[in-house]
Amino acid sequence: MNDETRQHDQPIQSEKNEVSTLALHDEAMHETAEPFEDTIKGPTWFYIFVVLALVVGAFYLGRHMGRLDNAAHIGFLHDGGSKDQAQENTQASTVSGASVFGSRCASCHQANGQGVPGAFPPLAGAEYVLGDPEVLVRIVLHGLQGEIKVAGQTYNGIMPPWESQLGDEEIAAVINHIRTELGENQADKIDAALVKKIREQTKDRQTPWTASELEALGT
Amino acid sequence: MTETVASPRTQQDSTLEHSKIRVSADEVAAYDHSGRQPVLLGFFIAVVWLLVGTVLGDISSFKFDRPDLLSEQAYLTFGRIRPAHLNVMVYGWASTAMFSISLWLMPRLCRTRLRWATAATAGILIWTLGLAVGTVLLIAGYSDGLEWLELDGQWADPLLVAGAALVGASIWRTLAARRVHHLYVSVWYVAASYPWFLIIFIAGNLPIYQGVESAAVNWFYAHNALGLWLTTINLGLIYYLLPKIIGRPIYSYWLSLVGFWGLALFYALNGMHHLIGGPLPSWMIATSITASIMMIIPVVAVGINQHMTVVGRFGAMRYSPALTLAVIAAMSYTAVSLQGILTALVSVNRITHFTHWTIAHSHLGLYMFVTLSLFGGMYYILPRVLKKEWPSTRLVRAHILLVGGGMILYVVALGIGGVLQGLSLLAPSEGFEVSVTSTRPWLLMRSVAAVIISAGHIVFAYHAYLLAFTHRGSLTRQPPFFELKPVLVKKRAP
Amino acid sequence: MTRLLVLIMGAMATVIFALVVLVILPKSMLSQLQAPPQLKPPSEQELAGRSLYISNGCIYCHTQQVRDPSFTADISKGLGSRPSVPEDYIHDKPHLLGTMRTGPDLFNVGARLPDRNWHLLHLYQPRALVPWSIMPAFPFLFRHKPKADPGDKVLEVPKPFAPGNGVVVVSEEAEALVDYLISLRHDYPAPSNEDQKEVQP
Repeated sequence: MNDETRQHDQPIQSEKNEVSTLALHDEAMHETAEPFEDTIKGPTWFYIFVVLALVVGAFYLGRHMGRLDNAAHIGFLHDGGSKDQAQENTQASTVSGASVFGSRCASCHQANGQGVPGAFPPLAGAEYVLGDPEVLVRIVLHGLQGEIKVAGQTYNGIMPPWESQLGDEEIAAVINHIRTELGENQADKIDAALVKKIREQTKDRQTPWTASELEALGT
Repeated sequence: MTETVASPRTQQDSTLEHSKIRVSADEVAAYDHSGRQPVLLGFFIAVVWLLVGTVLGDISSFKFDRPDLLSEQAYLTFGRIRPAHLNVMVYGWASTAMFSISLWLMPRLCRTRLRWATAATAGILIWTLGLAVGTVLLIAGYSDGLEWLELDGQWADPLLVAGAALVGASIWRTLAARRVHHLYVSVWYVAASYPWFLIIFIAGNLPIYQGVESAAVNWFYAHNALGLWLTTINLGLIYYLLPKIIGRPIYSYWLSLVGFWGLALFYALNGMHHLIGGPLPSWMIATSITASIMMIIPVVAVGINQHMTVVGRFGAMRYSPALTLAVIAAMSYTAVSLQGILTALVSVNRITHFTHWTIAHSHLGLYMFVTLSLFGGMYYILPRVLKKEWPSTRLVRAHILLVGGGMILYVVALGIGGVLQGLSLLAPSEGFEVSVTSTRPWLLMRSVAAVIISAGHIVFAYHAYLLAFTHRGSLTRQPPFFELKPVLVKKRAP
Repeated sequence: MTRLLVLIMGAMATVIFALVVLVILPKSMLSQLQAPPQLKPPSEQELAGRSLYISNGCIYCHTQQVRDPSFTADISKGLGSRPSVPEDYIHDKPHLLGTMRTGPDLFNVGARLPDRNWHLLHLYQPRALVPWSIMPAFPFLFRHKPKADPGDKVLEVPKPFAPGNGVVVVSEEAEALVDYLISLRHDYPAPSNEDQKEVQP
């Protein structure tokens, strides 16, 4: 809006006053009039806008509020979709062994698969990785606990189970990654069917494996 | 709210000669003098806290670039320095400066001298003591564990409550003794802020919450500390400075009303939007998102009101640093509020939640709006209380350019970094590593911005020192920016 | 406005309304929650670790919440098997939900990283395990001694991060903090609201 067109500006006589203001002594520059408010209503569109905003707000709250109880996460599910559907949507992503390894395994076994001396065993060149894939799948599914000898060194730690967190495809992919990509590792690839089979076979297992149990399996 | 403006229009009528519509300079000088002690004390303490908080902020920022910097000692660890930075800036710098500003505004707006000035002085000292105790305890490892409420509940919080209550008592006593009929819009904001702050601060600190209630009360407090305390007093200040410096009334009383009551009603309900997707009852989060969307009403009202007050007179910013800062702060208020509304929407929040975007947003609010408005207030108030002018145009300009430029860099860099971080956190195939490495260049840029802003703070503190403690100020006859020829002169009628 | 009473009553009304809606009402509603049977109350050692978590400000970079999979990737990224619900936090005082994920979420860190040594070494020097980490190191939770005394637990630190001489000994504080971190696991199924309604009458 232009100054000249503003009705309420009339009494101020802007140009004249401003020039006179500047011409005044320092003192006057210091203390102009105490401020007050004009009584005009403001633009009409604003009041229409207020009503619209209130309607939108009421609609939004009605749609997303869910119920007035303690249940969390019920107000913002996908339109019409149930919770389970949403879960499937996000889990159907492309499976890359390298990315599963990077996000789940590398913090202990390190990105290059060399492990941390004295704390976490290496995967590059490790017998358990290059050996019987059935044993390896078991380790990934249920984890490992207690003393274990890898590449001539003894380690004593806990590896968590991945059974509930990784799908068959993901486990197969990450196993193929560690069997072929880390260090000099070159071993046969496996497929998701093997993981599925072993998952079935061992579904009652609750605790991580120990080295002696795994040795017993091998024989 | 259907009362009409009761102030006698004739007295303010600009058709009168300019010298007659002014309140007499002596009268105003007497109001300023009545609050001289607490106002100056508050500003002095605020500037000290500003410098302390700047150092703490810089250390926190550098730790992102060099995580092993100063990590040997427990008291220098990031998790203690960062909350110390927040508390010092919010309760030390901003709040103390806001005490002074409200103690200076009230007598002028009520046309009476400040009452209970000694109580206000004592309040500021007690508040400062509480904050000092709380900050030392926080650095030593005694934290209450809630963001914005870290200060020790036993030793620091009671002092803070007592301090704010004493200052508030002085404000309300002055208000009760007012010699004007109509309450100007700044009075609503400033006067309401004190009871609001006390209620939310006490409610937030009660040790009776457990589990997710504790989260609810945490963000109820933290958001309202911004909305019903930092925002309100600074809006009150801007509502005073803009028409005062330009010499023109506030555009519309009705928009002021909508802006004030809309803010009071909706801002107070906003807090849970910090917990979107969190384990709180769904209806609470929906309520807060709705209230956040409704904030569009007061924000647009205040935005129109302040913009229409200044429009056509932006040239006046060239000769008044206080107006320059007040205008930037007012625009930032609109910008940060719109950004906040946007961020509260679930579709945006899924990207920006948990990222540095939040930090960029809070600095846009707490710096570009609150801190710049406080600087503007100090540029305007200090010469009037001290009866001296700011000694140097150059220092004023350097200060504004450094802090303004630094903060634009800060907000842009961290905003971009935050979005990159958020997109990476949302991509199911990307590991956590990507969200860290993609953010680091932007964090480095933030550190650069932090150094620039710190330089601005040093300039400002030095200039304030020259003004207050040397005679340099008294040699200057004109306010520094008045040396420029205002553009308005060009409009002189033939 | 000309009357102070309108100002003060109006201002109080709005803030008290918000207080009722967002604090008082939820407090009374949430007080009916029951702890899930699988969620153990924290031990004294874990509480000691929790207070270290608070005093060293872990909350400023780590969240403890899993959001709904319909609009986030939290679950597909392995932060948990389900979104977290109010019942999971029933023993928390104060809450540690957090607002920043500068570091990963810790709601299920005990399930993801159950190894004590990992946590100890990671606290001593995060970059010994995660080269790209920007987490601060917490060497002050460990003691640097020329020689280990009997009963000391020595932390084996890999080469570039180990001190030039002497050994790194784990303090009780570090042990407590690790105990707390490992106790963070919420892998039981979410208590459903239907169950609760059956229990209440």
